[in-house]
Amino acid sequence: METQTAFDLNLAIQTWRENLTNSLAFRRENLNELESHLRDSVATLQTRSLSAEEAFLIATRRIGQSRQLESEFGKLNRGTIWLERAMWMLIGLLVWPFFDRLMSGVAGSLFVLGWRSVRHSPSEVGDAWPVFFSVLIQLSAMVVAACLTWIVLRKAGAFGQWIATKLPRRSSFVLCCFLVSLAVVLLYVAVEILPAVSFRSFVRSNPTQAVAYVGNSSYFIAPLRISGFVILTLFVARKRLVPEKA
Amino acid sequence: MLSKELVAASTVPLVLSVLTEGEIYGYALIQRVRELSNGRIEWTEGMLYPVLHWMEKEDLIEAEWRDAETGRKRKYYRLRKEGRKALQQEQEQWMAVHQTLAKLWKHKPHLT
Repeated sequence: METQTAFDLNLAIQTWRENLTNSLAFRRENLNELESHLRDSVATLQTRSLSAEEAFLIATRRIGQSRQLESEFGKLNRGTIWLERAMWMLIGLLVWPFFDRLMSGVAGSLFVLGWRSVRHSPSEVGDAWPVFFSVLIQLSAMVVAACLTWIVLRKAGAFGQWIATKLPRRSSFVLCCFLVSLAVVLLYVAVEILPAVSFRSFVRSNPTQAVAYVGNSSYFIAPLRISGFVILTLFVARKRLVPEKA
Repeated sequence: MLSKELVAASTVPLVLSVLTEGEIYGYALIQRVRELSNGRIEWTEGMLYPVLHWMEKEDLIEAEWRDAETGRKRKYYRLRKEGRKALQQEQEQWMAVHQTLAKLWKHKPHLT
């Protein structure tokens, strides 16, 4: 019965603070002040012969529920909140086309390579099947892209916190800009130039309709791509709105 | 315990009035109000800070982070000239309400 784990006040305060950090409503300074208040409150209560754990429980209760605090601080920091939201929207707008482009580039190349390795004559195959397969491959590429985007957005919170500690330093900011530009150039090479080169060599060796099939499939893929993007957006919105179970 | 509406209306004049005694940090300000009101004015403590920050933005008060005797930093609030003016207006309004009610209640002081 005596094996109750010792209560760690600092850890408890840290957990309490992290719970608030997840909300956009608080700036770092707000949290510093609330933490300072909590520590004062705990210290005072402890002088009244309460244990650290009891003092912590009463002090957090007196300071208020996080939801209540969030809404009041939120009214105050509205400008910051919108800037932060706009930033995440921009990031979302970058992340989705990034993976979509990458995956459809890979899928297009796969289709063309596959076509190349199969011996056939166009008259036997007909037009519908190649277009159908191209759509199928691009569709699975789109699903993979959506999954990757989702994973990135899910993990973005931790990444955001990490980058937030780096960006204020000017040298890190410049380095960041440089690395991002480099990544974009590399991606452009991977997605635009390599497939274009492989397409051209393919077309030269076997000037059939394969490229046209990939092109035709885009009539089917384009609306799917848009609706995929909309569904992803709604999915994120729903995640945000459905309250998390404790 | 005060009603929610009365708490909301009285927070700013209470803060301004406590600050006339000198600069103070949030936790001590709440303790002071609790002590003066014999525990009848009980705030949800965290809710004071958005009010303080709003008052800071309105230039009624100013604030500064400083090392306290505990070794930790605390944010101290101080009254500004605009704050004193605002307090004067608040005083007039609250006194008007108070005096009116006092006159009305003089004849029947116990509303049981």
